[in-house]
Amino acid sequence: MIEFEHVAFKYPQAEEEAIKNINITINDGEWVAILGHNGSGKSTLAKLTNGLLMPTEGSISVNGLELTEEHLWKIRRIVGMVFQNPENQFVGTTVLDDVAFGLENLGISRENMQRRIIDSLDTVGMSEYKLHEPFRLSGGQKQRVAIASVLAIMPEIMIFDEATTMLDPVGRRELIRLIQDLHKSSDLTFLSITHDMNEAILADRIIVLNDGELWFEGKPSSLLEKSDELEKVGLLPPLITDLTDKLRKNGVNITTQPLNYEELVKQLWILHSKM
Amino acid sequence: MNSLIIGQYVPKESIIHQLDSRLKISIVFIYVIILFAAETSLNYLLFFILSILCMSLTQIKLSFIIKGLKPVWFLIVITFVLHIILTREGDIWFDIFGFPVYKEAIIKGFEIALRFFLLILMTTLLTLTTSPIAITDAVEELLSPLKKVNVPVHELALTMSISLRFIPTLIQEVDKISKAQASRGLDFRTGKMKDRVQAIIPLILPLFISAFKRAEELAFAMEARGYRGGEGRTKYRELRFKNADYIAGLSFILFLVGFIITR
Ligand SMILES: Nc1ncnc2c1ncn2[C@@H]1O[C@H](COP(=O)(O)OP(=O)(O)O)[C@@H](O)[C@H]1O
Ligand SMILES: [Mg+2]
Repeated sequence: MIEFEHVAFKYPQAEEEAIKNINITINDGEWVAILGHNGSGKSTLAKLTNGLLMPTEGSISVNGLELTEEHLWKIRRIVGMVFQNPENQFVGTTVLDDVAFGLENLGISRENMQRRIIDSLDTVGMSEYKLHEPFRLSGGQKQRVAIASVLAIMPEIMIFDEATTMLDPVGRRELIRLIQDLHKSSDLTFLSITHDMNEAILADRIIVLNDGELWFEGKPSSLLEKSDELEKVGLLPPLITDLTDKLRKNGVNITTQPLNYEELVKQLWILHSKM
Repeated sequence: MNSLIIGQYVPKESIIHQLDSRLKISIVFIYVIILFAAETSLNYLLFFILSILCMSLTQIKLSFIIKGLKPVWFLIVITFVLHIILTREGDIWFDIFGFPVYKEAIIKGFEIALRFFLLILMTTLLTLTTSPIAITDAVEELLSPLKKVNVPVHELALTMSISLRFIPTLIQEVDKISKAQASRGLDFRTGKMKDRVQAIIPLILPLFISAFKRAEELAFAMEARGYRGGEGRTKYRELRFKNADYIAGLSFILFLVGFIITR
């Protein structure tokens, strides 16, 4: 569980706070998406969660441990993080070495390490690349390795800070599928950061940040209800709401906001059978 | 530039490749030092035999090594010739166009050229058969006693391995930036030296900016994965002596004994 209480953060040279009086709670096993335009404070929020940055005001706790120097390393064991740029989080000279890096830091024995590395590479489907150097991998493959590196540490919470943003459409779709599968097959808590609505509506709950403030918190369906206000906070409505809006304008009477195409098709069938 | 093989690694599965990198580095280190203590021709013969033996065991083609050392051949010949020209004492052996050649000069020149050749050959064999990361690991282990006097051995080794990891990335980046700048009409391959140097700046500057950004992000990523210095860290890569290593070590000791006897 992650708890933010009246958290604010200001970068040393900045004039304005990047995060302003944020109160949020993220429950165990939940998948929460954090949305917001560029510079809205999403990455700052992520870095506050595992103590890469320390709040200037308020308090943060993870699994009941307050974020302080004392608990810093315990918290980093609980919270794993995948960053945006595939290149700049690859530490090892090969895939194996990269996954090993986090385990080495934790002082895990060699036998244990080997098992965990193989298991986590299997989970993300990268075992056959274990001897590859990073320059022989695509961006999507590097991100998979980054996920494996985090899984190997066996965290309870995983944060994806725009992990799909720099990938090509195919790599992106595959990575999103992997993240969805991971969430289904494990009881990990997910915090996924994105500026893509289509990605965010896959989550259980959405938090929208705007200029460091909490602008929305709730179910994906209720965010879609506010789709006409999204532009104000620099977000584009997802394709599904766009399509629904256009259908409504053309006189199709869709009552509840569909979250995906399946739901939309179902409603259209219901309407069709009523006609 | 690609033809020079000094410092390159050629992945193969030969006996020499599989030897423990600590052993290889130690052997080459000792080899280089005592090479300068060689005196008799039997000494040199021993060195020569050892080097050729190692070279043939690497499974790397002889022609590849000879070609790769081309620029070095040139230096070796120059050394030899200079020695003959500059040595002006001892017995005159013969004349070329009225230019006296001394016997001492030939022998000394040959000795130095051979020494130079053996030195380059052996160190090149080391890098040809040992991956950069294995060298890094070995250096870390061999220097670990220095930790006691507060030399940051672990940090140096990690820096080295991260640099190795990022070299291809930065080369790709240089390529990308130079193409981008060239498409804006920047020309740093032709023209006056001064202009060319000035044209390099738009190349170097973006590279530095991006390298610093990478370094910052990498530092965050490392910390997020629990990196807190060398203390309490375990190592995944394991260096362990195998039978072949003991045999190689023993053989080298035999070589040393032979060297002392023939000296
Ligand atoms: N290292 C930094 N120093 C100063 N200001 C920063 C730094 N990093 C980010 N900021 C500022 O903090 C704000 C939030 O940034 P960030 O959390 O990276 O946003 P996001 O991830 O949503 O794009 C932005 O206004 C940004 O300019
Ligand atoms: Mg960001």
